[in-house]
Amino acid sequence: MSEVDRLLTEYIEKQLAGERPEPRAFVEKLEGDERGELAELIDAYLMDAPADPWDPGALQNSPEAAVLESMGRALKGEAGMLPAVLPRLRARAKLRRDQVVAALAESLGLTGKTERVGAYYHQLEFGDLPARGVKDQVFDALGSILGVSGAGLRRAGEAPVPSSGDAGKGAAVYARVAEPDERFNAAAPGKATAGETRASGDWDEVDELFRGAGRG
Amino acid sequence: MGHLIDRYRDRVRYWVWRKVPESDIDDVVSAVTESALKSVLDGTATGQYVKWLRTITDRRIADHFRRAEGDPKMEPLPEEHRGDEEIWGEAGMAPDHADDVVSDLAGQKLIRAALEHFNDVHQLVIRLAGPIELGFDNRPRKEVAEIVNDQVGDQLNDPMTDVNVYKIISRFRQHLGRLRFEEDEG
Repeated sequence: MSEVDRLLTEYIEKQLAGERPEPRAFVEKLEGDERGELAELIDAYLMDAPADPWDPGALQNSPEAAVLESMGRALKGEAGMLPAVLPRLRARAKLRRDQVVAALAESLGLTGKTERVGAYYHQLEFGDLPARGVKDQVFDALGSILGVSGAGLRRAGEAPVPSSGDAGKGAAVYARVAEPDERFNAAAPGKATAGETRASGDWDEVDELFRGAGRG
Repeated sequence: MGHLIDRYRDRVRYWVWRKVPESDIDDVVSAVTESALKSVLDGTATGQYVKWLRTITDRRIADHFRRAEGDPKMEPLPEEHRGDEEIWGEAGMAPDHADDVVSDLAGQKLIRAALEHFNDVHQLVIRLAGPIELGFDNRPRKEVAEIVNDQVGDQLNDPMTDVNVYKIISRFRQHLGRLRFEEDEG
């Protein structure tokens, strides 16, 4: 039996036994053509293999759990898919929330009001701020910071969120299995109330930017 | 939903690892997870789950390379892939990704050629256990092993097992994928 065959057999036996063998570890035992051969064979096997056993503990600290959590927020919120999109774009840009907020405040010329910009941004990420009220200027600035187009962000914010009958149930599941990625969540404000608690007489340029679109 | 994601996430991560630089794996895996969740929730997930998941994974990998090569500001967000079958059909397919062989004459010829690469016993296994979309029976692996042992056990040095059946199907998929890749490359 060749080494490729031996390792493939071992991998399949473990997977069928309900373990969760790490395929990469098997492939990395070989070099050159043999390595490529085993990689392809495991790949082909995984098209056919039974599902792995569920391991909620392992899922909990994974990047997939962060996506589950953010999708749960999108399902419950008013900002379309932004609760799912923004954290992932932030992670991809390797920016913490406070860094995005600082850059956003600067880009909007609101460096003296960074805290309030942060509170609004928090609401967007958590689905608590209707995206239709946010002005293009904000999305353009945010897009620039995160490396996507402002128009794309607006579309994500106004996109219909999947609304199957399972939505509420799904959100509950997300909440149970997921934890935020702490690496990129530093300086998150508490419950954001930037807009909600302000009397209408106090309406200023920050409110205007985040809630003024389409306002008579 | 966490249940569904967790039970398939190891293979998604492996598929991504094979194609994408280490530093970008989490990002691409997250994009796949997001696409998969959205499709499951809005009911657009179709067909056999693993095959569908593989297609999504290939598309997000293709997105990744497109982004790496082009202007990130032109990149569509993951949520803008609704109805993207036409856009992403051929993107990023690996030589070992065999399941998209079409059921037309050219596809059937490839399947036949791949089958003939194997001996008679292995051909019997493939006919019994191979994927249904390629025209085979897709019977449970243990059942296939029993049938083969009953029918041609005298030709075997060791009895056929379900692990053997999985291995033969994996080799068949791999070979078919290579033939397809060679044909695509001309």
